[in-house]
Amino acid sequence: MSTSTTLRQSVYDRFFESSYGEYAKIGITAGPGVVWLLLLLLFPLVFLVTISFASVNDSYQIVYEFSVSNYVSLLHGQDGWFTTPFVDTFLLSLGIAVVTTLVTIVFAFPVAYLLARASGTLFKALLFTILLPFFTIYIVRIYSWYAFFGSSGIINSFLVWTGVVSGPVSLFNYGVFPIIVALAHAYFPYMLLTLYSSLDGIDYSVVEAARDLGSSRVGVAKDIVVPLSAQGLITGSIFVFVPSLGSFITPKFLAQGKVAMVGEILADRINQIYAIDFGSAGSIFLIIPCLIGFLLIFKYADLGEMRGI
Amino acid sequence: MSDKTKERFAPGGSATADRFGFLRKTSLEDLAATYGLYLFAGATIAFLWLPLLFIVVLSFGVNSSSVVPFEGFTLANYVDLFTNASLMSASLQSFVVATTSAVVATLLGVPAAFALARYSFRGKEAFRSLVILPLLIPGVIMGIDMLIFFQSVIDLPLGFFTTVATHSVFGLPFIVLPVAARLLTFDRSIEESARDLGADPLTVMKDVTLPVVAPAVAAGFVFAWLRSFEDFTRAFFVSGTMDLLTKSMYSLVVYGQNANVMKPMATVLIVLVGVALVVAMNIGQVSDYV
Repeated sequence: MSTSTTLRQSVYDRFFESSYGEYAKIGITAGPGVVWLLLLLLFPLVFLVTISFASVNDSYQIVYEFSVSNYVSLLHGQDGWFTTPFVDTFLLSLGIAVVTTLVTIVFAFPVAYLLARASGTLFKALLFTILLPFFTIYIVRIYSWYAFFGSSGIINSFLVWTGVVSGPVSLFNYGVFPIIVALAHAYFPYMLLTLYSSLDGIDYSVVEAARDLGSSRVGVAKDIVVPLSAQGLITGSIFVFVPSLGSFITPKFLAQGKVAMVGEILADRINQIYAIDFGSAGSIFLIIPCLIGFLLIFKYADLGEMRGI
Repeated sequence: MSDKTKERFAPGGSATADRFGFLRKTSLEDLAATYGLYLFAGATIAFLWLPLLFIVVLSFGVNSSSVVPFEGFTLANYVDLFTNASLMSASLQSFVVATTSAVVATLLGVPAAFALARYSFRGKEAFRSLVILPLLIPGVIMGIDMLIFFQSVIDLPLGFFTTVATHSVFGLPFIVLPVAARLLTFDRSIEESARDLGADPLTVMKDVTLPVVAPAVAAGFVFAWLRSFEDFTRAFFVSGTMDLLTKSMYSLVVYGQNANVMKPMATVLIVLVGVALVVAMNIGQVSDYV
């Protein structure tokens, strides 16, 4: 061994193999990441929650006194509690997010299952085919949905041109339906990849055994595959539900003002008038579902399952 | 009951199917289920391609805002794109931001992945969840809280640094998760053999460990880069007056200007990504990281 290698070795041994060396290793590797995340992820979030309980004076300065005035103005309307437009918007957003999640589950499950059973070239080809559409720039993708939907969009124009309907179908006009379609499309890979990870981990000899014992394919799906992939379903649902709830440009483009979602009105208030009071209090309604999802993942998912996202 | 009757009522099979040996264990219901599955999945995948086809096909179209009536193929949109100076400079800016934030995420994330995969410490579960959090937070929340943080707390002017900082946080999970997963499946006995053969820990890291995790790092880097390049919501809040591609596209659409140049840009990106994916899937083991 050369002298430099021996020197390196002895320095390393002296430092890292000593009793506090283990802590040093952890500090050097995880340290910067922890500091960065605490500073730029956790602290701003906590600060946002904190100032939602403060108030803002007329010159946009934050008045650091405990007050629930922000929440009251958000939730208490003219006719009493929970009658404000904000509450209606929030409930609509919840509904859209739930439907979107269910839609992604229904459509992603078969694809994930086939992907999990495929191998080799078929697997690679299938994966490529499934994932490529999601590398389109999101704004351009929404623009394409914008062109598809609408009373004079591609879908309606095509239907009218072929004579199937006499006028534009109102379902395809801008509003809730296009939003759900666009969101389900956008967050499809999250559901797909978590389901795939989960289904990939199933030992399919169990399925074979069930088939040998006389179960039908539907029975196998119902009694074996779905329960074993429950964890993936939960994780995937969280990763679809929470972002859908807080979606911003999707409703902005595809609702054309007819309906609004929570993320959209928060963004508008902050951007147009820097309404920190409204923005911070309203954000809580998105942060709480996010935290609930976070806790569920913290409890139930394991690292190996999250590879694909 | 006769054997024939028993067969007829046996679950998962039918007397008819049993007559045809090759269909043993496959009833009509099963066939319908299997082919129904293929059909359903195929239709889903076809649906997934709708926006992509719209974008790519119409980027070559004369009247590229609608399919009917279709007037003909042209490269005019591409010419418009590459001669549009503001869009080109915005793309360059997005490129620089994406690369810088992906590099920062890698520098922070690779060591963090080692910590998560190899060491155990108090608060490890919390750290792991903290790393996953940026994937979960809606863009509006992250944008708003970062905006308020930069403006009202530390009074930092919005621009390059704030955008890179935000995007590096956003991209961190994309580095940490694949690298940690790779480390967890990595057979450490190679490292031990290297140590036995006289290598010091630095050499082991350099010559054994890093080459093994390199594909995971590369895959994570590319995903983090892409997420930063195409991010709109967060950048919208924290980039101030800095030109970014997604912001330029947004104003094109919102102010009703000629948005036809967006499609060539998206198509170019898709082609590049598609080629990179094909290459990576065949040379590296990117498909393992799914």
